[in-house]
Amino acid sequence: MEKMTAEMLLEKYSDMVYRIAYARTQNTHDAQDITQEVFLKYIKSGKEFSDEEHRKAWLLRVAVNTGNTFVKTAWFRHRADLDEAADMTEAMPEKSEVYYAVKDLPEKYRVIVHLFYFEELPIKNICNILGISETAAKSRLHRAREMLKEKLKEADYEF
Amino acid sequence: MNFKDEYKRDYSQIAADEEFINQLEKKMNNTAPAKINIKMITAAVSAVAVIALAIGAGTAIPDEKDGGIALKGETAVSQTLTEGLFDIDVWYGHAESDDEIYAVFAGLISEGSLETLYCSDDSMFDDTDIPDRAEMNELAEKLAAAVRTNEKAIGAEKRCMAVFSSGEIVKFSIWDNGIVKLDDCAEIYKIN
Repeated sequence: MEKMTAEMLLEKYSDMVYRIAYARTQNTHDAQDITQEVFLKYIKSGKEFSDEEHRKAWLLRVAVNTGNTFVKTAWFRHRADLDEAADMTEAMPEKSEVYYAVKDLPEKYRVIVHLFYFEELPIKNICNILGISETAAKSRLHRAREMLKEKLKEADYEF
Repeated sequence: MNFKDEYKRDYSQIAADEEFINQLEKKMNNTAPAKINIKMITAAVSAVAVIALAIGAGTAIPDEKDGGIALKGETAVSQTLTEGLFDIDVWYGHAESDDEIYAVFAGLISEGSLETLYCSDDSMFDDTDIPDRAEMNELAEKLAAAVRTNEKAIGAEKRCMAVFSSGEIVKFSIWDNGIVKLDDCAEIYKIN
């Protein structure tokens, strides 16, 4: 398979990695830190992929794992308290109540919601990326939907 | 209203900052892959050595079809030119036999310089392939104590990569019945 230059790779996948990192951390700076680490790991690994799907799944899995490590650090927990209000949402033009409802979910639910609804990945791929069983992934997604339905009950969204 | 459409619309507005991406691209271009393919280097060096031999000796390369006898005294010329022509930097240094190579591997583990161990069902390694510390230490201990065997490998093969603090990388396979084979050795070893 043809090797991608850094420019091609970033053009194709930087937003994907950045968004999953942002969904996790809800903070621009932290999302950038995770994104940087993921792409530097990619270069250092010297990996070769059989197809584009494989490359995408690898990047998502490493983004999730890097995010896991990142949010466990004491530094992050301290920062998260201080910067809670200082995320980039203020720079975004307009957000729906859906955005805020997801933002209020605990982080592990935000990640699975993002993989399912934004990346439109099937459960069998999501459980591989998250490193959990298919049953656990289904249960987590179900729980996330229940919480979202409760938060958005007045608008009657179709899930 | 559809939840997915709304969510996708909101999150489509979130994108990495252009300046950040430009900086990241520069960093990526200045970052080299950590893994060095020793086999490729060895092959390349061997190819250069063969060319140097042909040019330096001023003779044709022995042709097997002709019984390998192109000129008298060719064997002696080959040895003189290839010995010490390139100092190949490999993780096992000057070890030659498989037992010596394995002993270097065991020594690196025993001296505590194993930084990370990856074990995967395929040859692609990432952070998800790192066993937990206790499991890694247990396997490291077994690897350091492995002994040469004539047994056959049975069961599923796991591909592993040991990364040492010196930067050395050793790749090997482990089968279900405890057979270990380093990529750089022909002999097989067994862990208990």
